[in-house]
Amino acid sequence: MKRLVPILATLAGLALLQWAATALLLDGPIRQGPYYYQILLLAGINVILAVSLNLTNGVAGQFSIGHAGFFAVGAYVAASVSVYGGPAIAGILPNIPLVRDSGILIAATSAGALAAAIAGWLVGMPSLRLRGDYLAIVTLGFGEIIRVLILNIDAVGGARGFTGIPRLANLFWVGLGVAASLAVVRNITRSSHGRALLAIRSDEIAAQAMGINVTRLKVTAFVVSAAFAGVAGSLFAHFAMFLHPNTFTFVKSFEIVIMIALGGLGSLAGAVLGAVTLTVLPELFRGFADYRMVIYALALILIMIYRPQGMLGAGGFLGRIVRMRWKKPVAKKGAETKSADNIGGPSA
Amino acid sequence: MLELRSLSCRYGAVQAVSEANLRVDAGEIVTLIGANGAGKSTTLKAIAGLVRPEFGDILFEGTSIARMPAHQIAAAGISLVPEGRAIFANLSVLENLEMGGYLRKPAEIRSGLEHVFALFPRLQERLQQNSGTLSGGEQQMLAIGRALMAKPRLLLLDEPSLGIAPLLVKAIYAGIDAINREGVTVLVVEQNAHLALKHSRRAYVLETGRIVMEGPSAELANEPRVKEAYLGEG
Repeated sequence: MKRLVPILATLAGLALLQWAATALLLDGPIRQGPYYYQILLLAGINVILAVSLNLTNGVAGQFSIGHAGFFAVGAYVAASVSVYGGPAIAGILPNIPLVRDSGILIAATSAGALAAAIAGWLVGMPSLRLRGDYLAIVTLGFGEIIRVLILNIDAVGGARGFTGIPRLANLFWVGLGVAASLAVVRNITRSSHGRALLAIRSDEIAAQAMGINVTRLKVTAFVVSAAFAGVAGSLFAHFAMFLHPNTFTFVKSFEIVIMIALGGLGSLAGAVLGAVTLTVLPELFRGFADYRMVIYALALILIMIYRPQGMLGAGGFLGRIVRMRWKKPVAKKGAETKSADNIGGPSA
Repeated sequence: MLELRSLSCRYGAVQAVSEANLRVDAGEIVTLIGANGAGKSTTLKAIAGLVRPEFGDILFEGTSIARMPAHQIAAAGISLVPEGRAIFANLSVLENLEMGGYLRKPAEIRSGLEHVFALFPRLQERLQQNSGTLSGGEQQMLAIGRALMAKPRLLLLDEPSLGIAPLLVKAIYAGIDAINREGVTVLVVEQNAHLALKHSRRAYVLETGRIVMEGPSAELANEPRVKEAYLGEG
């Protein structure tokens, strides 16, 4: 019962948001309403991608740079389900547009998430046994393989792109996806498994010696992360109504990595902030579209130099404000410090 | 309790341990001394399952653990305090200790915490502090406390005195003795032979991967070869 209240409140809030957005942005007086609406949805989809990637890259410290691959798997599988299986699903549902559309979207999204999760398991199982940079290389390769595969599958349009996808996603569904990804990642991070993931990031050997099944935990985090990328893919497909392999190049993967690096690796609020920033900024600088990648690269280099922990990362100025906690600067290593002057604030 | 039968480990072309036979009986403190690169740490890592043995067998309470994954060995009752502490620097002292009790129930974690605080009161003073900001000696106390949280029957310690202020080394070894008195069997690897022989019942001397001497610690401490090579006397 207690858990039901926030869920119902979230659903009601999202429905209200959808109603307000429709009234104001789509049918309303704001001239560029639909354009703002689109940015809002893209920002939501990017938040899901960033929050899910943050679980592997930030919390568990496993560097994956193939998130666009899972995004693509989710998008294409979900779109295939609604395009080819849509009529069959509609047949077993009552003929009310809202129920029918929701049913198809839920079925398609579940299929997309499942497919992405399976892909995550297949990629993670062998490569997460290894330590170090192997995962980065494997995931990078995986993303490209998926893209080339899609290019050559005619049933999903190949190089022409996948057309005729029904528009089923709206702000309500994207909002629901965002809420679900936030809730799941937050709960995992705060559980003992989340702490074990942090321990793995810190020292894998010691984590093993504590009895943590390191490989299984890493693979689980990776699979959850991939599944949410699949959810984001499905929402994207059913909102854009068109998919093209070029959307899912490694540039997209890097974009997601930059989002979480900008926001602060391991920080949930940071991932959200990074995703929103990197969705809105390119829109504000539309005129500089040609230089976007240059700006990205520069931004990343500057962040790494001046704020390696990201905007909301541990010890960051904004992070301090957001978390409302004060921490003493790190004591000099090797120096024997006396107890009283060195007690930090309670950890959140 | 623990038995190594002609254990051999290698890293690629380098033979780290060859044909090592070693026995630790229940309730003992046994030490393994030797110079840098003699294979001490590799032996401990092999017992903990972090390095796969090439040949030979490792028996813990009669069952072979040589091919078991590390997390199952930890669950079987062996805790390792890794070389260089290897605490989780991004977690607080309390969180580190809780991670040590990863396989334990909440009630056991609570009693385990009290036990650790009794041994190392300094840790209780710094419970909420980020463990990366502790001094080397405090980090070692934390690493040992973390290993104890798993309620091991066999505690493996890898160079607990390495790079630590002499005063804290004393406190750490007093802690190790206390742990042993409570019934935990201890196998400790040390470069500081003087210290190790003083705090153990039996000892093994490892040289370039081979066990060259063994016996009661008090006797080994008087052995001319040990004195010359490891105690800086004679």
